[in-house]
Formats: sequence, structure tokens, C-alpha cells
Amino acid sequence: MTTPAGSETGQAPARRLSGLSALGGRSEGRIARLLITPGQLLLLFLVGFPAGVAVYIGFTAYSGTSSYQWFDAWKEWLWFDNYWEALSSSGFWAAIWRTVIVTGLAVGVEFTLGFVLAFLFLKQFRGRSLLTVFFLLPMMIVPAVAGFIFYMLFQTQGPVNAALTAVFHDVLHLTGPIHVPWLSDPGIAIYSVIAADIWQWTPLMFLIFLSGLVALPEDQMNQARILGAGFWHQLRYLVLPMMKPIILIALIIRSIEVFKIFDSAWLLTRGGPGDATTTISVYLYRQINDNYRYGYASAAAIIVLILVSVAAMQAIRPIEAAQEETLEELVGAEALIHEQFVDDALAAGARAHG
Amino acid sequence: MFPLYWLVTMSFKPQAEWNPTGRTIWFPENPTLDNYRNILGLTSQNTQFFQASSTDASQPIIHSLIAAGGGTLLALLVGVFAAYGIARFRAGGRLLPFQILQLRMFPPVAIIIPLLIMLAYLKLFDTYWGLWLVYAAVTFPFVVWLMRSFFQELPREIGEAAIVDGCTQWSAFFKAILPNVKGGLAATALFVFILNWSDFLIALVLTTEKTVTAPVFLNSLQSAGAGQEYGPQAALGLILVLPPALLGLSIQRYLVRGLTFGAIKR
Amino acid sequence: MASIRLQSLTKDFDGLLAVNNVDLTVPDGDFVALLGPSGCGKTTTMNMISGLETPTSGEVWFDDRPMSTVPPGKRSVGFVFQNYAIFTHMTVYGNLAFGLRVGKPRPSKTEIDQEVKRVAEIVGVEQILDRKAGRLSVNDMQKVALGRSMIVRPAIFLLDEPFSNLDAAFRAYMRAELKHIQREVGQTMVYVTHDQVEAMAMADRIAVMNLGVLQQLGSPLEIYDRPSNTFVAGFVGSTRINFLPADRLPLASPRGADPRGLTLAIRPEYTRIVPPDSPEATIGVRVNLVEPLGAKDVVHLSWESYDVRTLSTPGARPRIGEHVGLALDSGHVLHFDEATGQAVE
Repeated sequence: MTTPAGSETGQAPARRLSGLSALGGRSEGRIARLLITPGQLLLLFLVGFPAGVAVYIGFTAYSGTSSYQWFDAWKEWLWFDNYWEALSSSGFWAAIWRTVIVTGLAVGVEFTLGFVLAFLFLKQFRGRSLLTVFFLLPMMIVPAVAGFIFYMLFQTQGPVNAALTAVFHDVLHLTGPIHVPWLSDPGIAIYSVIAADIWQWTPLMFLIFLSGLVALPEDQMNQARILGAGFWHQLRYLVLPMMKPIILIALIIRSIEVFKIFDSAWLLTRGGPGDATTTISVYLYRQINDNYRYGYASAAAIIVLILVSVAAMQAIRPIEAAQEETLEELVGAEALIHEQFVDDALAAGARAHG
Repeated sequence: MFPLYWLVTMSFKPQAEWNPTGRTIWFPENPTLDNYRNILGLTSQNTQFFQASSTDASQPIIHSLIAAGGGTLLALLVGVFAAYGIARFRAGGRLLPFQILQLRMFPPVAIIIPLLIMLAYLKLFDTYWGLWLVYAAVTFPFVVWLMRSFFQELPREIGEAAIVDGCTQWSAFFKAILPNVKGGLAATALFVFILNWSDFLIALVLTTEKTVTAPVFLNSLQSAGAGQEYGPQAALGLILVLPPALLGLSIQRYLVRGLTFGAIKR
Repeated sequence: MASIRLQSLTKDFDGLLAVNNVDLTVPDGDFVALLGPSGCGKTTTMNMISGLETPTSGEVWFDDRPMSTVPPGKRSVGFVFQNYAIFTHMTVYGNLAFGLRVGKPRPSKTEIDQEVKRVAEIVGVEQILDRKAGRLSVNDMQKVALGRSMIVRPAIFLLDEPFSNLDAAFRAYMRAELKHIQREVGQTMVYVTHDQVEAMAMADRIAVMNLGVLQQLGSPLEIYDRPSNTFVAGFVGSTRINFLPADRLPLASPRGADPRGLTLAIRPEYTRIVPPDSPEATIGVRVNLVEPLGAKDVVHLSWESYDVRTLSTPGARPRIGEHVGLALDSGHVLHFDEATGQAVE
């Protein structure tokens, strides 16, 4: 029997490991600092310091051809010239725009597909556990290899076109073979990149949504059924609102990751043809690797940083607000705090909805 | 599913079947292990584009192992302590977890430039230590997030009981707390290992010869022979992909946690 | 409103017979309590009435309609769960309005508003309509759960131990309120509880269940005064009934049947302590414990190897270890077959 949420005493469950300690405050503070010091040092030297260096270099014309060491870069001080160049560079903005499109499309499709799939997998059916495992495999592929695989697949002479030909021959009675230039046509290449990402990461959305759906409080769903709510009503009034925090988190995290896409894009098209698939990461990489323009690239990278941070801040706000409310819901609905093996959880979900 | 199938079958196809014009071969007609022999340097046959020696991926594979392994160890070492500090003693304040999340937000390309410069300056370019440090720094947030939630699930009483029994904080940690998160620790370790193993960009920029990792090697194969050398590349791809797939399956239930920063526990 | 008929209702969970061939009729407008210990099958029975579970065999009838093809949403059933299952992410208003909003046809906004306010007043939550349901006190949640089910005016109302989470004073209040509403509206109600005091207080008729089998169906008085088997006799009654071997007692058996093989039962209130050598004493007993309950004392005695309980006025405290006599009122003695447990008239 569950304790209803928001009971008067509002007790937390048995005292957990976090929270203020009752034993020896001062020595504990010391230990705390000691424990995180190595981590902080690591981050300081390998993230903080480089960040500072990047800022510094961003103000200079330091490049691979400079005759001096990096700390002497002040010798070619440019003030904001690099920034200006980036901001007015069509190449830079085009890359940003492409990345936005890729992110939007990829995440959008992954979200929808993942959600639908999660629903389909709620009810128990034969071979479901096996199929689930299959579905999860793409996630675990090294992204670079995934890029390579799709490189093979999307060849003009490759299997994707062959399959399309086979299908459309019968359906539309076409004569010649279908040769979609997936990788060589600037307009189409970007979709290849998107497709590769969708293939690899839809399973993640699927997994996230499945765990969310399965953890939905059975009692509330039953009550809704009794009150006459059909599938769509349940979806609109119960499922989606209760899944809101999960959905938001999944969207945000995935969006951040897709925005940074590099591995698969590089192995698929190397940013080509021309500039067609140059996402922002590819753009920056090219600046370093092809042009050796470290200073410029740093400045551009910092601009990207600022853009992404601002966007993420905006996105995080509804989550933080939602977190407050959902905390009570989580306590009351026993949702999300589940650690069950995939099969067990799926079975529970099946019992609820079967 | 199908892409994986393609990878597997391609790795067993003889050269004639890689990219024949006008045909698509869905199932290898003359399956062979030549690709594997080729890619592991076990043969002296020359393929159409390469000398036998230049497609030897055995070294890069070993480099991948060492680099990923070392990076993982380092990340764990630093991360577990930090996670414990955060979980138990609220080290770093309330916002630290969110700050760590913010770290993940910017493209690694941004950081890679100064890192390249720094490592070159410190003579750590193209070395194991260079890779270990960077990998550790990059995956350290994951360790912290994951282990923090594992530590948080332990009741305080476990550590306190150990202290009451006479342990110091340190021994309490090792004898009482750590054994109880063994499962979580293993899962985190595997997860981070997979992340490091899969890395491409960092290795691409920070290595050139001596510690080239497998994914980078794959990339160089692709650009070298006009990218038509499907067979051996597929073999390498499969080799690359197998460990994470197997390891990943064994930690399935922790995957969602890791990939969403423990915001969603699975 | 509708009547309910359970016909040979059975539910088998892979070998576990949760509900075993239950036949039960609830007339229209009646308040029937399903009483029994945990695991006796009462919740499963309720689930089958509501449609959340399908019977393994048997049928559920509402009036004259068989319900086997009717899904839960279409049965016009209100069901208050033990843990309320409030929609925590909605406001109180949203919870109450839910049944109307998902109904066909959907009433207009003003109609919904009117109904919500009406029901809110009945259950007493009109002040907190804007509150988020997840932040309510347990008592308020309970009211919302009731109102949420009431608003759709169901033909049948089911409640599964709805008051067990509440504090005692509020529980008594809610019982009275519920009964009042039920009478006023003439609502057919099935009420599950393991608390026999509650069942006795509220129900028109009580169905006692144990291990999936219906033990007895009758009015509270019948259940109390004429239990049909030892289980019912032992389960009902705030102070447990006394079971004693009939052949060792100087009391007549019904219709002169052989007292061996019979168990005699008598409720504590029909026994009283008398001086040990008084002619009224049926047996001699030893005082073990006195439990003061305020209005009366429960005195625990032992006779031979048996535990016996009797009631006593608070003043007359017998001393522990004292040997006294116990008078058994022969007019209120019950007999049960020792082997089958069935009542013997």
C-alpha cells in the first residue's frame, strides 16, 4: 500500500547519504574538499586552463605557421578581429545553420519514433525481449564506425539505392535503377548525416520513454480507465503531463549531443560535398586541420560556446521549474525511481496495460 | 539492424564482392577471413590499394585498449572520490551537479584547440599520458554523475555504523561504502570505457603516429585508398564495435542513467 | 443506480484461487460490506466488478446486463482505491472535472464548472480547488478521491478500504458522511474492509469472505448473532468470541445432539464473573489479565487449557491470579460442528 504524496508530515524516506551531517561538521568539510580536489584539479588543468588559453588565443592571430610559442601570441594581438571575422563569415553562420537544421530534424524524428516505439513495446508479445536487445544495439556502436557503415550504405552503387530500386521497380514500374546521390549531392548529403544519427540514437529515446511509460503509476491509469478515459484521453491528460520532465530532459540532452556531431558526419562525408555537411564542429575542425588558424578557430568556438550556453539556459529553465513540482509527483507516484532489468520492467508494464 | 548486418557481411566478403558495379551482393557468396587477416597484419597479401603492412590495425587496436583503459581508470579514480564527496558531504555546493552538466554542453572541438597546443608544449602530444588525461577530464563528469546517484541511494547508516565501530572516514569508505556500490561502480566503469573506446575527435587531433587509436586508423584507411577498401575496414569496424556492444548489453539497465546524466534512473 | 449480481464468480491466478465461486446479490440502493482478512479475495472481487480484472469463470451482472463484454470505462462504476490514486499533477479542480472532461458527450465548460463546485461542496473541498493535488493532506486527498468518482453519477459505487489511512476521528466522521450521502442518493455501494466494526456500523448487509470463499451474507445482526461458521463467529466481534469444547460443559446441546464433536461458542458479553462458589457459576476460572478499555474492562481468564474472555464493569477489578466463577448465559450459546466449523442449530 502506498503512502499518498504530500502527507502532512512530508517525511523524506529513510535518511539518505546526502544532506547535512550530524557528526563533526568541520572535519567533514575538510574531507569534502579533499575528496573533490583531485577532480577539480583535473578539470582545472584540462578544461579550465585550456578554456582560458582559448580565450587568450582568440584575441590573437596565432596559427600553425606562427613562428612563436603560444604564450607569446600577444605579439600578434588582434583584439576582436577574429570575432568580427567569424560573426560576419557566411561560412561560419552557414555551418551554424546547418547544425541547427540537423539537430532539429534528427531530434524531432528520434523523439517521435522513440515515443511510438516505446508505446508499441508496452504490451508483452512474443520475442519482445529479444527484439528489444536488437533495438538497443545501434546505440552501442562507435559513432565513427556508424559513420563508416552509412558511408558504405549510401554509396551510389550501394545497398540503399539497390533496395530502393527493388521496391520502386515493383511498385512504380520504373525501368532504370534508382541512383540517389546520397553522398555526392550537396542538397541530399545532409540528410544522410541526419539519417545516420537517427539510426543510431532513436533507440536511446526509445529506452528513455519506455522506462518512463513503464513507471507510470498503474493506479492512476486504472482510475482514469474507470472514469471513462480512452487511449487518447489518457495520453493527453495523464501520460504526457506525467512524462513532461523526462521528455524535456531527453530532448535537451539529445539536442546538445547532436549539436556537437562530428564523428559520424566526418566519416560519412568529411563535411562535403563542398560545404554541404559542414556542421559547426566540422567547420571548426577544418579551420584547425586544413587552415591551421588556431586563433580564429578559438574565437569562433567561443562564440559557439556562448550561443549554446544561452540556448541551454533558456531550455533548462522550464526543467528547473518542472523539477520542483515533479519532485512531489515523483514521491507520490513512485515514478522514475526504478531500477529493474529491462524484462522485469517491461513485464510490469504489460501487466498494467494488457 | 540492417546496417549492422551489412557491416558483418561486408567484413567477410572477398575483394571482388565489395563494390561490384551493377550488383548488390546481399550475402557473401564466397565468405572469407582474408579481411581479418589483412587488417590484423597477419598476411602478406597486397590488396588493390594497400601494401599489407599499411593495413595492419593490430597496433591501433592495442593503442585504443590502452588509451581507453587508462583514461577510464584515471576518470574513475578521480571521479569516485569526487562523487562521494558530493553525495555525502555536499562538496562544492548545491549547484555543482548542474555545473558539471554545463561542461558537456560545448563542442569538444572548442576545447581541442588549446589542448592541442598545450599538450604539444608539454611534449604530451601523441602520448598515452596525453590521451589519458584528456579522456579522464572528458569522462570525469559522467563518473561523478553516475556514482553520485549510486552513493545517494545508500543509507547514511552504513557509513556511520562503520565509524561507530572504530573506523576512520577513509577506512569506512573502503570497507563499508565501496563494497556496496560495486555493481554501480562496475557499470560506470564499463560505461566510461565504452565512451573512451568510441572516441574519435580527441584522438584524431591529439595523435599522429605513435598512439593512433583504432577509429582514427579507420578514418585514415578511408581517405587513403579512396575509401573503397570496404572489406578490411568493415573487419576493423566490427572489431571496434564488438567490445562496446557486448559490454553495453551487460550494463543495459544503467545505460539510460549514464546517457541522461542520472537524471532519469532506469 | 443498479443492482449487482455475482454469479459463480471465480478468479484463478495460475493456480492461486483468489475468488472461488462467489454468488452474491446487492439490491439496488443497498450498502454491502465485503468483510474479511487480507488476502481473502475481496479486492479481486471488486476488480472484477469494476472490470479491471476479467473473471476466470462466472459472470457479473448489473441489473440484467452481463458485464463480461463491457470495458471498465463503460460500466458506470465509481471506484475509490485504497491509496486514492489522485492525479497528483493536476489541481483539485482538474481531478474532480476529469470524469466529465473525458465523458461522451463532453459537457460545456459552464456545466462542468457547476458540477465541480457542487461536488466540491458535498465532500468539502470547495476551498482548495486550486491546490495541486499532490500537495494535499491525506484527509483532503480522500475527499477528492470521493468527489472525483461521485461527479459522474455512477450506477455502482465501489470503495476499497477508503478510510484506513485516515486518523481515527476523521475516519468516524467520514463513515457517517458517506453513509449519509449513500442513503440520500440511494447509491448502490460495495465497501471493502477488514475492520468489522466499520462493516457493522455502515452496512445494510455484510458479505464475509475468507480465502476466496463467501462465508456468510446477512445483516449485521445476523452475522453477529447467528454466524454460520466458526470463521465468521471468530472474525466478527470487537472482543473475540470464546470457543470451548461443548462436551466438557454442563450446557445443553441443540436438540440433544451429542456434545462430543461440537464446539461451543459464547460472546464475552454473555458471560460474567461471579463468586467461585456461586450456583450461577458454570465453570471455574483463573484471572490472568485485566484490560481496561474505558467503558468496560476485558478480563482474560483461563479455564483448563483454554483462554476465555469476559467483560466487566470498570469498578470491579478482579485481582490477577484470583480464582473466580464464570456464568455463561445459556440463552446466547452457539454450537458449531468441530470438524466442519459449520453452525449447528
